[in-house]
Amino acid sequence: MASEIREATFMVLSALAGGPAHGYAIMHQVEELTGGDVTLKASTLYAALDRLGADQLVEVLNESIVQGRLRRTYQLTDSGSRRVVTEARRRRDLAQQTLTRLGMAMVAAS
Amino acid sequence: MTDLETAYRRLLAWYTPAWRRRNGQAIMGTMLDAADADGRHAPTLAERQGLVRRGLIDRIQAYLPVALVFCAAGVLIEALVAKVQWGVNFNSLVIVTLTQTVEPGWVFYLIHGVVALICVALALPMIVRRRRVLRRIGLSSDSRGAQQ
Repeated sequence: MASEIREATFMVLSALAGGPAHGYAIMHQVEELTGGDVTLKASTLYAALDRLGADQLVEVLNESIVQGRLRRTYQLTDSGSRRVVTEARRRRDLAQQTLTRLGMAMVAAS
Repeated sequence: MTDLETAYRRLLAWYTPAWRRRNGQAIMGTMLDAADADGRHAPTLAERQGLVRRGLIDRIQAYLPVALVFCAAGVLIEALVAKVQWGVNFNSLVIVTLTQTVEPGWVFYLIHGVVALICVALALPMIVRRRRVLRRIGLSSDSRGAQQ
C-alpha cells in the first residue's frame, strides 16, 4: 500500500481526474474545486507533481513552447486513476461517517 | 529575460540542480502564467516563501546523507587525533571529561576547532551552494536525479 496522500496532492489528482492539464490550469482548477478556498502555490504544485511522477501516478503527456515558455501537460497514469478512485472513496466514507456521528451525537444530546 | 523571470530564476537556485533540470522550466512557465493572470511584475511573498522552503527541503533530502558522512568522518578524525596525541583511553573518556582529572590544554581545543570548521566547511556548501562545489570534491546528485 502506497503512503498516505496529502491534501494538496489529492487536490492535484482531483484536478487531473478531469483530464490532462498543464501547471497553471491545475492551479486554476484546484481553486475552482475548492470554491476559491485553496490557492496552490507553484512550489507546492511542483513538489506534488515531482513526487507523483516518481510514484508513477502522474506522467507528462506533452510539452509545448507558448510565448517562449515551457508548457508541460500532465495526465494521470492508469495506477494514478485507480489511486484517485480509492482516495476519493476513502475521503467520502470518512466524511460520511463524521456526519453520521454528528447526527448521532445530536440525537443523544436532545 | 524580464525582471520577473530573473527574480524567479534566483529563487529557483534554492533547489538542487537535479530538481531544476527535472522541473525548472515547467515551474517557471507556470509561475509566469500565474503572474500574467494576476497582472503582477514581481513574485508574491507566498511564492518566495514557498520556493525557499521547498528548495531547502529538496536540498536537505538530497544532501543530508552526504553531510552526515562528513560529520561522522570528522568525529572519527578527532577521536584518532585524541588517541594518537594523548593516548586517550576511550573507555574512560567520558569519566575523565566529567571529573576533569585531565586538562587537555589549548592544543586540544585548537585541533578540535579546526576539525569542526573543516567539517562544517565541507557540509555547508551542499546545503547552500551549487553543483560546482560538489563536482570539485567528486560528489554529485546527478545520477540520483536522472533515475527519478
